[in-house]
Amino acid sequence: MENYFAAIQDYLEGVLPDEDRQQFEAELGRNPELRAETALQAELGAVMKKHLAAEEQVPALRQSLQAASRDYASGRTDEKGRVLIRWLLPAASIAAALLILVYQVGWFSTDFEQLPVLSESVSRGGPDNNQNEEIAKAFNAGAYARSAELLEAALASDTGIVRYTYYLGLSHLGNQDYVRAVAALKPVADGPSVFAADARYFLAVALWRLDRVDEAREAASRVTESDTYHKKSQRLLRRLEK
Amino acid sequence: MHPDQRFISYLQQNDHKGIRELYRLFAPKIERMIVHNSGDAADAADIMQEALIDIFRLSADGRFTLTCPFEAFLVMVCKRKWLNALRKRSGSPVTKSTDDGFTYEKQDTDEAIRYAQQLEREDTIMQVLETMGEKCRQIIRACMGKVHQEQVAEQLGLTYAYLRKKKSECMAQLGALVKAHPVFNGEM
Repeated sequence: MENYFAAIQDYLEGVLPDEDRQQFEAELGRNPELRAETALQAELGAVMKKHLAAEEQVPALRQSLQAASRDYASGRTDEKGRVLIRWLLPAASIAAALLILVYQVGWFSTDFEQLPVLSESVSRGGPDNNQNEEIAKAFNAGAYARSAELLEAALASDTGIVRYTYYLGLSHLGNQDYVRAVAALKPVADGPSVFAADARYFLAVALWRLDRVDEAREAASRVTESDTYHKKSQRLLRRLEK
Repeated sequence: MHPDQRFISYLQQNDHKGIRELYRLFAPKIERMIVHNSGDAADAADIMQEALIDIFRLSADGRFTLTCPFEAFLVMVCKRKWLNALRKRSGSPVTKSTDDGFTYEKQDTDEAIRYAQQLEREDTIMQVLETMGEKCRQIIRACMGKVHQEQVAEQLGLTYAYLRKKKSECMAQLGALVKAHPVFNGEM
């Protein structure tokens, strides 16, 4: 079976010697299963080459689409605004005042800083069970100063636990200490761990809060479609454009 | 080739003026369809943006030729994306079909469906790739680039023979995963 797939790849890449290629093509003519598998592998290769080559152009295109979407949305708002001014100014003024009030207490805003739950399960090589539980309880209860303190202590004995560096960044974020949040989240966001994609989103939030808009935009645009925080990153990007 | 191929070119060339025209012409229709089917303006903006990026990816190698109106194609892609989003939100299949409120020639609708299906096949392949183990993803991505595989082997610290062996194993695994996906096995 191994040779079967190796032969398909070699055939598709044109590296089969002439004699083997002729045998392979003869087999292709006789064997519908091989034909179907070869066609699928050819499709997979072509699609991946095309998409991977296109990927570097996507961030710039996304920015243009966001700008056009914003223009469209503002045009629509202008149109509605003209109708309101003409017919509904008094009611609109009251509604606007109420909306501002509601917005200010946060009922309408996307909660960009909503943090995930920290599991109490212990990761291999992590701190002991009790310490882990204590960290998770503090973090999940919103006692971020305490969880940051515990995580810093845990990391003092082993700086290599990426999970704890990530949650230390989130604790600082929860504590609105954005400078420290950036310092902790940046290496995780730039690293290869499973927390990298989520860290990019929260890094973008922390940078946004520090008014480092270009860096925030760059971090948010690195959150890909398959990542958990992709939608929120897109909303944040739209917010950053305002 | 349909005259609306120009909209595909706008995306390929990241033509700001053309993209604004595209939004001016089609965004109100997409928004109306989605708002009419349990969504809001923000959902419509997200769906339209993702649909346009997918259309860009589909046509990125310059070989895609549009033979139906761009609107029919875009509406079809957005409609299918929105149905998927509703499925995910409700956690169960949406039985009600999305009423897009548009009518096109049957031939145009058929073409639009065919393009949208191709787009979904390609999307699925890339999504399945992302679910694979890190080593396979790394090898496949590196081998699909422009760098010669002998150089790839050197960069990854592997022998050329081992790289080719792993690549064919990973491609076989990817093929099996793709074939099991509902988009490919006919369950969707």
